[in-house]
Amino acid sequence: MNYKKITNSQLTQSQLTMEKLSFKTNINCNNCIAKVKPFLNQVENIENWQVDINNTDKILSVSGEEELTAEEVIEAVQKAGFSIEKQ
Amino acid sequence: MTQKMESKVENQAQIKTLIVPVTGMTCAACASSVQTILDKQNGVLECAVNFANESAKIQFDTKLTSPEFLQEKLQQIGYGLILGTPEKAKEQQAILKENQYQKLKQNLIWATILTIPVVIIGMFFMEMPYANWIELALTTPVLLWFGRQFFINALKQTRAGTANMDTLVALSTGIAFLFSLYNTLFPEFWHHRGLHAHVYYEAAAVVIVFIMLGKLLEENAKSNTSTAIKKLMGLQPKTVWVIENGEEKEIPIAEVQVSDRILIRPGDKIPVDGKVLSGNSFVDESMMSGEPLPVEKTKGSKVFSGTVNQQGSFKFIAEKVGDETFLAQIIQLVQEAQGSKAPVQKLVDKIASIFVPIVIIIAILTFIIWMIFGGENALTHALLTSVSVLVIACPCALGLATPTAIMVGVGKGAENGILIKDAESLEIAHNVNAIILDKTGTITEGKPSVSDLIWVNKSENEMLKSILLSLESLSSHPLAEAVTQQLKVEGVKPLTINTFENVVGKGIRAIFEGQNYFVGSPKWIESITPNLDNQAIISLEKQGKTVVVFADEKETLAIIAISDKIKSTSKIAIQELQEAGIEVFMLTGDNILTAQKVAEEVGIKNVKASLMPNDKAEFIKQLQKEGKIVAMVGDGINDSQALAQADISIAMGKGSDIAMDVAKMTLISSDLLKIPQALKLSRKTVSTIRQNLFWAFIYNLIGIPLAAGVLYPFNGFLLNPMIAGAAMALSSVSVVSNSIRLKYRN
Repeated sequence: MNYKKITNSQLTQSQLTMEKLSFKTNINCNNCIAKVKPFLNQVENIENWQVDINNTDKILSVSGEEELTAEEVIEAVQKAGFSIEKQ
Repeated sequence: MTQKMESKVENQAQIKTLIVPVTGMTCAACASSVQTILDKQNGVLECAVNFANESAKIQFDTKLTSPEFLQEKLQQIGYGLILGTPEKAKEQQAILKENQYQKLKQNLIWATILTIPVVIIGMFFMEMPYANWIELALTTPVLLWFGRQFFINALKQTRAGTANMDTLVALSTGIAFLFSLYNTLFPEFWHHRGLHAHVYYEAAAVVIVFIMLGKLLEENAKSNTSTAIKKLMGLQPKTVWVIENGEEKEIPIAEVQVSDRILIRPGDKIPVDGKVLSGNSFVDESMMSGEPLPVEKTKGSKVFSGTVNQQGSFKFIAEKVGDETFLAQIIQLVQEAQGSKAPVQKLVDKIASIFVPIVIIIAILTFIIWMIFGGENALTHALLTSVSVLVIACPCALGLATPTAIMVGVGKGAENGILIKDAESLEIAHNVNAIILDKTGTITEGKPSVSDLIWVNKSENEMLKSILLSLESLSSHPLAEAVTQQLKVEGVKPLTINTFENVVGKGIRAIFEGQNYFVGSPKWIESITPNLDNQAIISLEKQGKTVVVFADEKETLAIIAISDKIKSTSKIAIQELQEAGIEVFMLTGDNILTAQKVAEEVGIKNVKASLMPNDKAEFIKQLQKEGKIVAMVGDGINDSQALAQADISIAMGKGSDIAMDVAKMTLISSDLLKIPQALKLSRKTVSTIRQNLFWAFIYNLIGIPLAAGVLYPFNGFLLNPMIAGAAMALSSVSVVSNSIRLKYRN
């Protein structure tokens, strides 16, 4: 721990090292989101995820910790029965 | 059950288990009569009727019977089953119960207003003009309107071939009333035969009023236990913030699913069980463990529904929802424990159940003997004597014996800071032979305080004290409050600190006048300043205390030990209980090391540590199986299930509302010395009840043979109504004055 740098928020540090990924998927509608939700929610390295169903490419954007890998996300979405590819 | 499944197993028995609320049960005997009726029905395999929470668990074969059929059968004898969805049924039952309670209360008030003049006339102004008619006018509504439920119930019971307290009340008051009515209408019948037409209206009215009062108190105690359940349910928030597709959204708790990501803000109640995903906070888990210190939660920590978040915020993944959550389990188990206890048969009930048939037999025998040996006036004498027997045996004093003693006992308890919610506890508390004490908040104060504050190397000065106070008051750590409180008591003044950092899981750090100061765990401080006095720390930790170190960049400044102090009277109280031959146990959710330390200090040999709320109740069940009568003393929500299970339950006045609602006794001062006092009070109350019963019976013992006319063959003495009336009044006066005496006994 670096004691010279003083911060009031404990979250700042993890936000600095946040990993951001986005994927092209076929998660088309709100119902699809509900289907994929349990799978993505279980991936602990994911801090937040969001599907833009208005975009034609149905972009899934994921942010998470440093250790978060694209493979984890792809595996979870595929388990839910959707197709996904990294952008 | 779906259509598909039913058709699949068409030829097999279809077993279904149903838990349904039962209405109309007024006593333990009702519960057994409902049970008997249900058991008798074809197709009912198993059935358990629970009087305390007014429900029945019925296992039945859907091919042979239906809930509707069972409902109809119960309605025939005056009970009801509430069918439909569980929530609706519960609601319906709650409304019914509330109405019932209000009605009972109103009836009691009116009956009392009418009864008071009846008693005054009946006892002191019997000779006033139209006395009988005035009494008749006042007593009729008491019996036939406000007290009609007793007669309706008795009739239904009789039709079903059973009897309960209502039967006794209806029989005795009914006969007293009818006899008095006849004497009011046709006094000549007795006057012609040279006898006085005495009336017993006051006896009938007083019995109705007292039994109603007893029922009201009982209902009150029962409704309290359901408030406890309601409050437990209130520990769960109604709505939850979840993250759906990247956005925060508020949804009703019922819609939360496993795997949902839930957002917890400062001060939120945790809605369901789960695992922390991100963020940091302290969570108050006292409802689970009884420990007052909030527990730190970081990624991967489990959180439980009903616990309360402190100042941080975090996200967690729901793992258990609905009936599966920790809180739901507690609610269910508390409910079950409340119902699974064997109902205590009250002393008076026991006696009454023998007394009534004996009196009826004596009355019948009296009638037969007079018919055979009565000579010319056989019928007159047979009637008069047999009715007199029934009237004089009217359990007026018997009815007063328990309630008056209990009322005085409860009043005396309240004077001494012991709140007693139901008569039953007071009646059985003196039999207790095992006492379970919770540790935190019961034996100990229940909140951490500074036990040692050691300034190292003469570094004690006002400035450092002020820095420590300022540092700790900025910290959100639950232990920090103990330190600030201690320093404030010492009169230390705080300073203004501008640069401050919370190092999660380790401690805090601040800069004051260019100098770094640290407060935190010994391990962390050791990594900063090398010359830490480990010897002192280890010895403090061995005493079960939590140690915090205050240091600057160069050296340790102070060692602070924090512990939950034992109440000053706990040791003496426990000794007193043990000397009285009661086994004392300590059960705690805390770890074995701390538990043992506390137990040693107060002299308890039987200790169980690291227990979940459920384990405490199980332990009590085990003791009960061994035939022990167990008292549970606790303060927390985590004790509520054990409190509900125990024969006697005692809550701490400084504890949680829920524990107080579940427990039948509350010690306002939270002082354990009140426990031996409560047991003593119980012993005295019960001995007063026994003396009362003696007084009630001694008059009956003399009165009944006189009423039956045993002296007639010797000196022509038949019942002298004046003596009979006086005897009845005297027995009541003896009982009441004996009860009042309890107040002045030490």
